[in-house]
Amino acid sequence: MALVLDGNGTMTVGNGSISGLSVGGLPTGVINSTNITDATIAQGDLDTTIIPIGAGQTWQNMTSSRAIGTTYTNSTGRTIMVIVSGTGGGANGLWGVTLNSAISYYTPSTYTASVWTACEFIVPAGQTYALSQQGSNATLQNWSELR
Amino acid sequence: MKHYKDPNTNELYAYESDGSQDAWIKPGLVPVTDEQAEEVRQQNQQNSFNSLTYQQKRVTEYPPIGDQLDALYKAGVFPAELAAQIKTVKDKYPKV
Repeated sequence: MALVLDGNGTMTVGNGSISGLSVGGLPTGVINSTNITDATIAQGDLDTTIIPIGAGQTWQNMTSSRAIGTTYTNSTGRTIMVIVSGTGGGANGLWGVTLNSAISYYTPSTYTASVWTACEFIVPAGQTYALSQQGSNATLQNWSELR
Repeated sequence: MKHYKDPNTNELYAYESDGSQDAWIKPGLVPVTDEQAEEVRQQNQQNSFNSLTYQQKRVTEYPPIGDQLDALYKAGVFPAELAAQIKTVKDKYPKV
């Protein structure tokens, strides 16, 4: 499928070839048939760039199919959001979030055990994500994904 | 899910068992059984914990700060004014 905006300002949805986007001389805040000649947006761009996260997606409880210390891949073709909560404790924080094999952040130090801690992150299409345990006795309580 | 591990880093990966994510399997990974995956997961967590300092290990097991403060209150070591404030709240919401 492709979303097509032609030089006459007509937007159509349907099958079609992909061509370059030509935009020029844009007046501030205005896009019209004068400054857009022809634009065809590929399905991939539509999925990952044009359509905002959340559109057509639903929150899904993934707790039963997710585990701490395991790397998962976002193969949905869309950007997804992940929210995880759990209990445990750690001076370096309870959770470490790893995106595309690079540590992104740790949750704050809990200072004691048995503290509820949550973390949230966005995963672009095609990238990997994992949650590691930084302290001890971490128990995964809920893992939800907007996908 | 089916599991793979990176033989160089011991990082554990999971992919859908129906094959729908096979095209996403990272090159160089080796397949492991579910039992082996759990062993890898536990070993990685243990290695992470072992790397902590003794202070960091203690923090993971201290009781909640609220419980610690309540024990001090019950031991009667708080200043009278603070103890009175705490008692006011306890009286307002008695145990049921």
